[in-house]
Amino acid sequence: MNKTNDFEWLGGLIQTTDTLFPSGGYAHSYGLEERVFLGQITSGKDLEEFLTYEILPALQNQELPYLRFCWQALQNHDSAELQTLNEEISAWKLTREIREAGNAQGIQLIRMIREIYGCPIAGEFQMTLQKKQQKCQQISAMALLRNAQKVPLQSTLIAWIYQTVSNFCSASVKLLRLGEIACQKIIHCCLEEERIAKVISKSLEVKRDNTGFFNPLLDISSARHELAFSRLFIS
Amino acid sequence: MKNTFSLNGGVKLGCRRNGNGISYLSSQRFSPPVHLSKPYFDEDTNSLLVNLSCPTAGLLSGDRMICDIEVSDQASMVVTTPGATRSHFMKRGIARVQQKFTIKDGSFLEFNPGTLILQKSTNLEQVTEVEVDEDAEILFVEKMLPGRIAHGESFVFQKFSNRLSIKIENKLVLLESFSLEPDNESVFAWKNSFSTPYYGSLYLVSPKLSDHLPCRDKIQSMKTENLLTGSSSLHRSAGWMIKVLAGDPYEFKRAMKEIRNLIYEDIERKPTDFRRY
Repeated sequence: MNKTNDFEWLGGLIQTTDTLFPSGGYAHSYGLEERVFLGQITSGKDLEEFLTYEILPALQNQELPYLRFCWQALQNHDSAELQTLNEEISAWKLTREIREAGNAQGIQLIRMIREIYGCPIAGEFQMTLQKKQQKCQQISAMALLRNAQKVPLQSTLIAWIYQTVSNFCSASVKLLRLGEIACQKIIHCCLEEERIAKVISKSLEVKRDNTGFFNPLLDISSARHELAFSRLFIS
Repeated sequence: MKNTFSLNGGVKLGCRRNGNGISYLSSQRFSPPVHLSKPYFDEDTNSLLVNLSCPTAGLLSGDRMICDIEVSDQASMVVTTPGATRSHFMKRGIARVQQKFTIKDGSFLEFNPGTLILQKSTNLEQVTEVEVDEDAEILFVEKMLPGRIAHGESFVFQKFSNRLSIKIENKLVLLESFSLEPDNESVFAWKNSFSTPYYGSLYLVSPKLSDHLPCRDKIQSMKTENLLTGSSSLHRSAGWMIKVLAGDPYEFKRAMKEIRNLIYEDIERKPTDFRRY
């Protein structure tokens, strides 16, 4: 067997990316429900296209760079920088539902980190935010979790891609009546080696001032979902 | 090779109120590529209307344009342009626009320029910083077209980078940043919304509307086959963002005008006529 320190963090990473781990993601569609309602996404093929051309590029240019910035702030023991990043994340989540989804999942994740890992940094971070009447975003909380688990940056980023894609696929089971095999095929396609390597390597090049992504369709869908007459998901 | 025809200029304006409560330009400085029309005080709306025009008919490679506007002392100001802002063909190089808006002491600013048209091969970078006092208000509007649609030009620009930040009392409430390049997925959603997609975004910061935007339902119900609209609140309940996508110019113009009027009604102000003839 190869000498490796994967044992130090791999078990924890698997546990906390598993659907049994209470992240709260199952209750959110992150704008997908309204896109389906508007007739813009109606099939597994549409979902795959949505994930490939809208979500993976958004991850590459916005969420993964911010997860990296947060991860690096923790490596540098710079809690002030982590707070600044947390506020920036709240500010670039343009719609209330998406912002509050990030807050709800961030708060839940911080609670789990404290319960399972007894992480003092997470506790201090939460207290500081409370004093400033700020809320923890899921990306900041995820960086705290991966830091506590000692997960390397690249694996942290891959896990984030998996969780994002998997959340959309999970929502599509209800929204598009997709079967388990269809969903797994889409997840497999999104996580295909060459594709994921490209997303991650490009995300690593993104600088703070250039971080962001443009998706007016998703912004409008998410905004419209807030006033939807009936809905299955919180966002 | 340095482009010797490029312009490095802009506009710096200060707007205050005089003893009679009339908003006036307390300071002004401008240089090409910007020209300032004679300001017009609209007695009906109590606002000072300023038209910024561009003698070069748009932005060219190497241009650097700075726009710095401060409104204070409970003044009210509306800034617009007589027509669309064109970012022209660029063989090489880039045009840069830096904008800063400061709204203080219960003042109001509407910044509502014409549509930005991203023409073939253009490369434009725009950075906008908005700073608002807790008791001040701003309506900031961006409109964008992916080319000269009437000429069949669509999504053939080179690059457009845009970064907008809004702060209230130095606290960040909005950070929208993107870089669009038709060669990659950055324009996918926009390009696939309508065959000729018109994009508009309105950002409203007002202490009057921190919890509730009365016209929200009306904006929601404006949706048609050729029009998508949505509104949501900003971080820290600082105000509202309204986004519009339309498939034709008439629907777009009508929707943007209607939303503007609805917003003005909600902030209990009268909309100033842009006086474009």
